[in-house]
Amino acid sequence: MSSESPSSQPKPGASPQSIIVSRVRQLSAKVLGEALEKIAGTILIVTENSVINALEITVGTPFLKERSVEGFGLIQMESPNTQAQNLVFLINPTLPNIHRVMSIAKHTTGKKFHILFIPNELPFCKQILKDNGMANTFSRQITNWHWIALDNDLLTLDMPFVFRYTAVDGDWSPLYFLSSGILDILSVTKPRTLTRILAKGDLSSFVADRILDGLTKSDKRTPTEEDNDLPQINNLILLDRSVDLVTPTATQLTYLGLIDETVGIETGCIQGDFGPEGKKIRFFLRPNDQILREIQDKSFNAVGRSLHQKALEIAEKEKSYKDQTDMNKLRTFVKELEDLTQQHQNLAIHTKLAERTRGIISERRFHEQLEVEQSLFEQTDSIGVGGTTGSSITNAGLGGEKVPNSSAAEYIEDKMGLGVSPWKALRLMSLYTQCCTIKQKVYDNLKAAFVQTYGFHHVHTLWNAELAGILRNPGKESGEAERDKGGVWNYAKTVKNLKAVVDDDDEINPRDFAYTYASYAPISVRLVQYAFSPQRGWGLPAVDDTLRLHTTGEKHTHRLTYNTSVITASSSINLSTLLDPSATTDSRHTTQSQSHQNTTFVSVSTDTPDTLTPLSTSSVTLVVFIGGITYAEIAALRQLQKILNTTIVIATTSIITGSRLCESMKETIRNRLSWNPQMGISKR
Amino acid sequence: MKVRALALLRRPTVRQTIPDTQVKLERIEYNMDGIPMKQKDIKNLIEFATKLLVARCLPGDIRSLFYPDVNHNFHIVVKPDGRAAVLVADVDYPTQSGVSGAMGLLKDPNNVPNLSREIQRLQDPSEADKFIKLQKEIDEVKMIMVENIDKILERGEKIDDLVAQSEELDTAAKSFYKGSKKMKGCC
Repeated sequence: MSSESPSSQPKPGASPQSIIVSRVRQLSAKVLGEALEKIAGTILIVTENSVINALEITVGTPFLKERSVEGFGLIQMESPNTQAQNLVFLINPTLPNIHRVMSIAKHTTGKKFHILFIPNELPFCKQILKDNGMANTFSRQITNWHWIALDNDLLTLDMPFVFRYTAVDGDWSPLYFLSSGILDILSVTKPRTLTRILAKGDLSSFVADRILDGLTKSDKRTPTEEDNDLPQINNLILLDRSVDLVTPTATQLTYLGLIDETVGIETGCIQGDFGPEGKKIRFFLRPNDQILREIQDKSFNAVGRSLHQKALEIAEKEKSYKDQTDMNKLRTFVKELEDLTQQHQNLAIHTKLAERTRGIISERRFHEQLEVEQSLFEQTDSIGVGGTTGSSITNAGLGGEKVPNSSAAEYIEDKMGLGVSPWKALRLMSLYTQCCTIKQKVYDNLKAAFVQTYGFHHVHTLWNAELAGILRNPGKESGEAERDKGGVWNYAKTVKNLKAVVDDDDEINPRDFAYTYASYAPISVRLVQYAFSPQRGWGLPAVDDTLRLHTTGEKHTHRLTYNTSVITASSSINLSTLLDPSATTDSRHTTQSQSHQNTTFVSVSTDTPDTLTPLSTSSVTLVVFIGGITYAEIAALRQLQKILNTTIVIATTSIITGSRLCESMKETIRNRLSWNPQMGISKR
Repeated sequence: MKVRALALLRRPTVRQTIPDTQVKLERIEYNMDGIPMKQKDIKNLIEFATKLLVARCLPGDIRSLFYPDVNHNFHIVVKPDGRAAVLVADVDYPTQSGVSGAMGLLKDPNNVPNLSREIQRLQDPSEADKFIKLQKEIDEVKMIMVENIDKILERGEKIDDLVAQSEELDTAAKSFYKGSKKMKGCC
């Protein structure tokens, strides 16, 4: 299944995205190889499951074997059993990781220990090691390995903790990784072709500034002849996840989106009993899987038809050789056989995945939930949920007194009573509080029901969720409105301005990208769309009102005015000396076509300009979602790319689902007084 | 599938049909396996037919003729120098093999082949013909290949099952659009 060499060169005539992405992948392989080659002797890589998947996607097993890697160990283990001379901890610099690494080192003897940081070290790591007297136990190295290429146009840092760290803990350090990662992407493209950076949100503005700093330092060289063949990136759009938290909380309805929601996809890998005869397999989503390519972004309802067509095609091809007497045709058939069997296998797996998912979504409760979500999108809170949930239990005694005229609240309480996971419940609450203006009493009742159902420790979860803007406390919201009128989240206005609710699109042959969530076009992707639109572009007051950052996190409110940082290329106001000390006065007044050569960056940040020229669709745009993106949003972006006939490369900190995003709000509480039954059994 | 007789003859090099008396039968070898009686009659008949047919062929001709009275094919090769070879075989024997078998007898003008050994060897038509031999090998490889392709394709899920399953997936699709607005309109 891993026949494709991951670092293979793109074919001539490949799309600009795939050239950029494959160059980034080559860069990743290069830095990884260099880091591993510095270690003498055999190696056991100890890391998380997601990194093992990422290695498979980025370099593949033969690459690692050549560099004396003997195998993998999971970082959750106490002490790996191995013959290898070196234990190499290949990890993101997070606190839990450092603690696990120290614990393994304490329990293992006779090995050399190395920590390779993905992508870079943070000062606290050294300090913690020092505090625990282990400063000299490890050799520490940075890898500068930023990106994992999940598809020909999709790069991820695979750091699912970014949203939580930035929105709840106030730790912005991952943004440095993101900034240097983006600079890495720019470094494999033609220098000085990036002319515009659009940023939405605090984190985005921060990253935009870092990138500007980086470019002024590194991008001084003028493009040479050889650079002319390099692909370009002309625009950079940065978006905070907190700009749009509605989208991830809704149920994704594209193929990969629904698979991620139901089965789960970890760093481009699906694990489960989807192999032949129900065998457990690790199935990697590879860009060369033609069937996946066909169906991944489609509405799940269109997937059956596509799979059926593919199955018929493959069946016909497979039968074609039976009565084939012509030796030449037979030879061609045998040549295609490998590809054909690969497709056959992939088809079998996708059919199984689709069947499994179909089983889940054909249940009544799934369609009930969709109905609730869609009525919330349309802000018709009291649509007949009760009418369809004939089976639901009465909510008496669950959430206190019954609240009139808010059946969505009742529905959520019913769900809690039926024992859905806390993250699913929180997700629904999030959608509810974001889409509807609800009464304080209703909100408080929901919170109370949540804590009563799932346990007291979830007080922290709810607190964190409010901080991150996943839950919107109606009381606080209004108080803040008085302080800062610009920063208040107004779903109704946003949806109206962005035309986010579209209820007449076609699932099979969509015109818009609203099919990804059935009747709801992701706000985040609409924002990207309007960056290209002359009529409804960024910066126009009518639209920009709703584009203001919606974070309600108390920590960063002082930054709320810093919402649309627009960095444009301009030859009239010139800071070119920053970039090019040799630039003369004459070269500043260049024509449009020449201005590529003498790109100047002017930060018009903080103040929103009256108008903003729309991005040109003939250029290449890098869209970065800070804090994660859903598979359905990726599908929507690709659909947008088709609509606009432009080129978009997608980069993100991680692929998320609403449930994973909500789960990241949880707090680990160590309470000595709490009774742990397992501890009681294990102790004598 | 049998070679009944091999004959080496010589005829004048004149480029026209001649009476069969002018054709000289140099050597002939029979294989009478499976013929219980009247062997002599058949031999005579074959000898007569061989001479007659060679007399009617011109130098340089290569012919495969069916002679109904004997119910056999006569594969005849006449070289321009007047040497001729005839391979008499039953109708199942491949023409290609018959002709190349006869041609093989005339390969070397100075060395007369041992007909009794040749007739045994040529009973297997593939022996007679390198091309047929090669073809047979290819057919064998092809058969093995087709068998193996079958095995490969049968591994894992059968394609017919997948066709059926995917069709079911298609028909089971249920729209995600709840159309709540429209519903409200009609209530």
